[in-house]
Amino acid sequence: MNKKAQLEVQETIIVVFIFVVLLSLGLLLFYKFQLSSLDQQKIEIQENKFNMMLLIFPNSPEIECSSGLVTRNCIDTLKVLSLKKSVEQDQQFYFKKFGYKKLQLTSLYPIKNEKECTSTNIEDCGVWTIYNKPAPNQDMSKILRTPISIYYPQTDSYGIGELRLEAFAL
Amino acid sequence: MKKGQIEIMGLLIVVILIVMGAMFYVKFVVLAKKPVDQTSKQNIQATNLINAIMNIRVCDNTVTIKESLTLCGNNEPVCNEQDACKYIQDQLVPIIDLTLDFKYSFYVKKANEEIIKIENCGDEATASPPYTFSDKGTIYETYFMLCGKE
Repeated sequence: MNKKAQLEVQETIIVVFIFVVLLSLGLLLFYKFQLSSLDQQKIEIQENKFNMMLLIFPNSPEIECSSGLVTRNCIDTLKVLSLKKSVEQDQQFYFKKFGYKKLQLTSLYPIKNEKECTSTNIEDCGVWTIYNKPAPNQDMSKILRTPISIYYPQTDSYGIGELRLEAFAL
Repeated sequence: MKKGQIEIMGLLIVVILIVMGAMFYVKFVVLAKKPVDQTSKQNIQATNLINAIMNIRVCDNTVTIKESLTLCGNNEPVCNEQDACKYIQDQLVPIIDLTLDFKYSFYVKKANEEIIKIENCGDEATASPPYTFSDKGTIYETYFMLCGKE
């Protein structure tokens, strides 16, 4: 092989090598960018899902006021107690449903005390902690609150409560 | 420098400029954080609150707020011959103040005529979705105007 041909082969090898290096760098950057973009999208979807909970949760059949097939826009306090009991009995099922969250209902009007409601003190309480599963090693949380109509079946009366949804590990 | 070399340099500069432009586009347009939709959360809160208020019983649990509003609309008295509109306004303010954490104005209209008006907002306020109900064929509309945190 003459010298000129050798030089041309070496030149081609260098060009291919540089091309491959540049291509690999480009692919790496693209992969990193896609990965962070997917992470961002995952967080956004989780946030949207959590925001939607503010609309969906008060209307879930476990706690919504209903008589027969007719539903009303309020939370039945006796149903809330039943849901609390179900959550205590089947924590795995509700963890799959709610994840790391705290769902709490507080009576705002008429003003009541801050005692936790159980089946033994229905008349003398003002807070229903429906579900509480904090994420380990997670200080940050996102909180959504909304006033909500609450119904007391034992006295057939209504009050105003605050539904507080707290999400850990979003 | 030869003519060919100068042309390649020019091409390189154009390519660099295009790449920089694309990077700025990605940084400020594609990855720009969308503002949190605070208004929609406030709308949900306002709608839920109106719904909750309507069920509340006043005057020793004898009449609901919704019934009192229709009495106000018909110029009828409520709770020991008191003026229904004034009575209901006095009852509503502490209840709403207790439950909302942002400034608001509150209106009740009977067939487009304002019968209750609680004004705390200036010009910059957004209306919440209205809650409507009817009494003997007359439409009543209630809504909040929301104007930021207190």
